[in-house]
Amino acid sequence: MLKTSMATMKSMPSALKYELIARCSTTKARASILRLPHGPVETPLFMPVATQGTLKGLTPEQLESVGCRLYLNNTYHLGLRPGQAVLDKIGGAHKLQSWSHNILTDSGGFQMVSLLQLATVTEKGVEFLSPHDGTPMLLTPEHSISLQHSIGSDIIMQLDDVIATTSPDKQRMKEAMDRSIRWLDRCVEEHLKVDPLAGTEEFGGVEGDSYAKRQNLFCIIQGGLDLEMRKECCEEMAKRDTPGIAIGGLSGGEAKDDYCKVVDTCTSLLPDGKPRYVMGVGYPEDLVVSIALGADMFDCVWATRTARFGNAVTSSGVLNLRSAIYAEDFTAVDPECQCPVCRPLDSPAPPLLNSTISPPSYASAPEGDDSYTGKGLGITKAYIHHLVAKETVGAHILTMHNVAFLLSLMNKARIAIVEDRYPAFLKDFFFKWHGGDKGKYPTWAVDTLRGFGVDLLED
Amino acid sequence: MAAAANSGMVFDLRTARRTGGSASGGGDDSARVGRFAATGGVVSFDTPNFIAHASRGAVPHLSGDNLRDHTDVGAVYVALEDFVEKWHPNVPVYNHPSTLRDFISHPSNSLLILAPRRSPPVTTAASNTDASIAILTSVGFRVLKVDDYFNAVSSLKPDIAISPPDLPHQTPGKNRGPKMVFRTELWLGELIKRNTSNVPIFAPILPLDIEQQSYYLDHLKEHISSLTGLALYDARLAVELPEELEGLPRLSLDDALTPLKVLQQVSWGVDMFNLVFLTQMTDAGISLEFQFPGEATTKDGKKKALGVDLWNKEYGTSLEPLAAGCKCYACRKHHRAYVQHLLTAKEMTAWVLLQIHNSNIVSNFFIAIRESITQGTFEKDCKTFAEVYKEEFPEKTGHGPRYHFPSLP
Repeated sequence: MLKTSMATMKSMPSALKYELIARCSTTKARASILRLPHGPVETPLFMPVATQGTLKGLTPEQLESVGCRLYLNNTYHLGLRPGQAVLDKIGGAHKLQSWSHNILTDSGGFQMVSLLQLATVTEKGVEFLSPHDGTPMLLTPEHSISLQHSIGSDIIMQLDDVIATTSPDKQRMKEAMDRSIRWLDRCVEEHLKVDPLAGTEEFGGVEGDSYAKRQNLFCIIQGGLDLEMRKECCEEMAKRDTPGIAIGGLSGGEAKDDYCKVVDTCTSLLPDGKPRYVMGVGYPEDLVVSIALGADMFDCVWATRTARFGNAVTSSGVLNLRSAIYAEDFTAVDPECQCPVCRPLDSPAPPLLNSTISPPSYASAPEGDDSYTGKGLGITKAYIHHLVAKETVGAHILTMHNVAFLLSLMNKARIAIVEDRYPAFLKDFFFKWHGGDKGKYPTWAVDTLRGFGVDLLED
Repeated sequence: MAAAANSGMVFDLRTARRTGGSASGGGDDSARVGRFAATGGVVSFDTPNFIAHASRGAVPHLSGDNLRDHTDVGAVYVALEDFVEKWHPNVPVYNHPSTLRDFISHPSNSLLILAPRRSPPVTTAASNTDASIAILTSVGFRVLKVDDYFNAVSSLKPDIAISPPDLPHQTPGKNRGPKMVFRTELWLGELIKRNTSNVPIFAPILPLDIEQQSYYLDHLKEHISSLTGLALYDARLAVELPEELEGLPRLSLDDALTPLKVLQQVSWGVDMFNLVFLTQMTDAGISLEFQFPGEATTKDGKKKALGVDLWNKEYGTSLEPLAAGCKCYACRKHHRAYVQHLLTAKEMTAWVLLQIHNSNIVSNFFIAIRESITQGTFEKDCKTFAEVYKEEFPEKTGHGPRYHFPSLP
């Protein structure tokens, strides 16, 4: 196995600052401010997925209005459309979508493997057939990083060798983990190249700076469900000193107990002063338990995808608003929710729960301008039932609510951590989510939290 | 909307100085300016102006916040057929404790106009009867009892209700014409009688020769105190209407498919337009960019396009706004390259931005029309417009949104 020795490793600059604000005294939950090139965000943090440079019918300001300051774009999609040449010409993804806050991009590797059946992974990279014309193409670690440089995202991800955690082939798993470490080194090498835009008025910095001065490369811990492999990967990758660390390869159908063990193992080994991002997690129960396990950042398409099928994520669980039982339910989607969709018509926007994030771009608009107001819409379940799957507006408003719900859930978790009452928050969350029926609590969550001495079932 | 007895909408016709000095001023220039206002005074609507056609209560692509904050859409047309389902006898909106406005969370700065059917309506398999209208629900055809419509008007309390017209799908023959008039008059009488909520009523003017509906028009004159406006299914009839009905605002449901046709109808004395081309152009990915009357700047004598097809590859890296000089949200914050990216990616936001922009272009078009009439330059300005701009919109090249129901023709 080839591993770069520490001596040859270049030091990695960081374009972020991780400020730990509070720690739960019972679980491993932590609250922080993460200062990124396009402004601060607060963790625990959920990042919605704006795959192709937009989040399903929402304008950037609608996302701002629910407190979003960091969302994902997918490198694979932006690389295909509008393509690297256009991105370079326009000046990156922030300018493309007029988003003045932060963007995180994945490496593109996961999409190739999941979307394209004919992708094969070799040491060089991921080989695949172009979805346009079927010609063979190759995504190398260097090319993935170069694409993410053109996108200009604030957090970029290494190309990794992703295989299903449930794969029984231990040898292949080990190969994937080792390869991911080797690819990380190639990504670092590419990322430390001189950024031709450094020193320009728009991008700041000093001429000769590397890309690492304005974009943060995160490594991705691999190793499947094998805790020993995960440990080895954590140790090796931590040495590379990337500004943040992702735990990858999860959320692929593994048992939730196994998932929790992997996250728990990794967070115990990872350095304290860096953000930890668990990729592909976004179901509310998974989020609150993962926070207890010491994870800070999450992304998932579930909430926004399920919105388009008419599913509302609420404090009392997921409601399928297509069901006839909501046809005459004239109450808000979630009466507890403070998002524009759920608040009464024309009610003013309440202050955001996050105190440190930047104000929305529309807040500084001159008086009398036809600016976004963030005022309430007074939407009922019945109206969404009436619209859903028939008018795109139904998808827009439910997507907005679902994103707002998850961001607000993270804010509430954060406040609970700061006030050191996260265990009580967990109990309250599960109680409401399951409508007070403790018999429905998932065993994996009960068992995992019991490990910290938090008993969800006790009164 | 205040719901006191005799409340409703008042139309204040401010017909501008009829092109004073000009000898040819009279002619067929019957263009007029007015203000339509709720007696409570909350909402007012200057005419000539456009109304946006809603689908299932929503202006296509615009969630209520974007409609309220980023457009000047002053009135929206809603069809009851969008709220009736084929299989359920139950109609949820009837059971709402409040009004249609509340059910669809309609922005408070915009008027709500209710009609039985969408406009233009999709052709149904069945025909109307004396007691029912054939309609299209989201999953198929059924009939709507006119009684149900009358009850809906009283319980849903729209700002304006259009009395049901009896419109056949084909040009009416010798017998069908009189039957149309008979039913339309019958239904109007019934609606007036049963209008317990004092909802302002617009009476339909049928797409028949004026002589064929002369008794009906007499009936309208008699009941003028019960009417708030007229809904014209043939806009040309605006010039032939009896003088007694002149004070009523005229809503055209005779689709003006281009800005030139809008101007023509304005010159006939139409006050409000159900503007079908707004959503059509948005769906086509075409960004409107006409102004009234427009300036002839092209040296080559070529006429300007009414809009830009943002599918066109040449805009793929254009950081220009959707239309030069436009102050709408989409133009202030975004650019053509983004809209093209969203269109090719089939992302819904493409049509959101286009709809915001296009509705602003249309709002400004009508503001300029009103100014022009007030200034007495309307006829001249129409000529300028016809010289500056092409007659038709650009050809549609791209694909529309993935789903949109039911699709307009």
